[in-house]
Amino acid sequence: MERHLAGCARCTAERADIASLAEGLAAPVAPGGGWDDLRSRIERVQRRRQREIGIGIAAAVAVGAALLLVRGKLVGTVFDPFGSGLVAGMTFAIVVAGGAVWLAARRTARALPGTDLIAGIRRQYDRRIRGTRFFALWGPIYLAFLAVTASPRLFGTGTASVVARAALVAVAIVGAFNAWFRVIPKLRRELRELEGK
Amino acid sequence: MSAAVLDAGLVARARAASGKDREAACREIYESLRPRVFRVCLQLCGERTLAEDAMQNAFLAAFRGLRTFRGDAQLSTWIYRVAIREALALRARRAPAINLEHAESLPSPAAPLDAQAAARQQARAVQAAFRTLSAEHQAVLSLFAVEGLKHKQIAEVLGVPEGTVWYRLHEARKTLRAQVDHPTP
Repeated sequence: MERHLAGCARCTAERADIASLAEGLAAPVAPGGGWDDLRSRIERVQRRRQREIGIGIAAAVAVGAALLLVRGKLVGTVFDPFGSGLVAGMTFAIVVAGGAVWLAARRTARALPGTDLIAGIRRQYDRRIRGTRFFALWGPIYLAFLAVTASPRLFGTGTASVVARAALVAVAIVGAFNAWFRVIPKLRRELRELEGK
Repeated sequence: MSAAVLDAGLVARARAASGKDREAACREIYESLRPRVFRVCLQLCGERTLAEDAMQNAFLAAFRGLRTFRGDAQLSTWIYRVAIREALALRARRAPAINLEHAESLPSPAAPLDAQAAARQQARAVQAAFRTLSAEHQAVLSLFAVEGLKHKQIAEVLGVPEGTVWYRLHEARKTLRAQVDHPTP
């Protein structure tokens, strides 16, 4: 192809046109951010990661302990099939932590050579939009079902029960609105940005 | 050392070693690739601060993921890929207004004032037109026209066949030229 380029008048003219356009693009700007800046950023990220891991472990232990304390109340509720609250909590924490590690690994792996880089970014946006739409639609329906059908052993009775159930539905609706009117439009705008104007 | 072709031993040291030796190897890689990666980020982000963030994020991600790098391609190819991802992501998230600050320094100070003004205007027009291109066209033009990579290298960076690079380059030039000559708002 390079040999063809050397002998083809049309391609040579095209290359010359690109070179003339490139004069407007090639900005002689010195890069900022020396090694020390990068190293301090690496250290910042490492500290943040350690903090996040610590918070994650503490949260998992707290959730596990809370479930252990309330597990007696779970008998007969929709959560009963999970068995011990501690097991359910720890499983939840392990799945969340594993998912986070897997996502982080995939983020780097996606950039590995051999796949269409920009098509991959587009597919990633498509998947995020579809996933957000799915949860925005089914999440409130599921939580509303849970609020209506959950046993009084979980939510109690009387006004407190009504308030707790209404709060669950309200949280689900707010989450869905946030997804439909903020997250999805933002993702769509970012995707359009890739298309150019 | 060439900025594009890094010594395999250096890459191996950065992957395998720990402590000061690893840091020295990473630093050498960083210093070697930094100007080129920054230029690509600047083209894609259109803003210096954003480009610096994208460049540092890219190196950070690359150094953290260095052990997963299989060595099928050159390290520079991989870092370019990570940098393009980071630059496009940051630009999309912040959606910055067109910023032509780096076009100001284009004309030579020795050039006559009229020529300087004309060159500055041309640079602004080209950069404004560049912003209207798709990510594929921006990436291919940056790597070819600004970085001076060969079609084969661009194909490796973007993960597409070489013919696709030729086609995208042709389309990008046509669109850019049309937009520069007849700008549409």
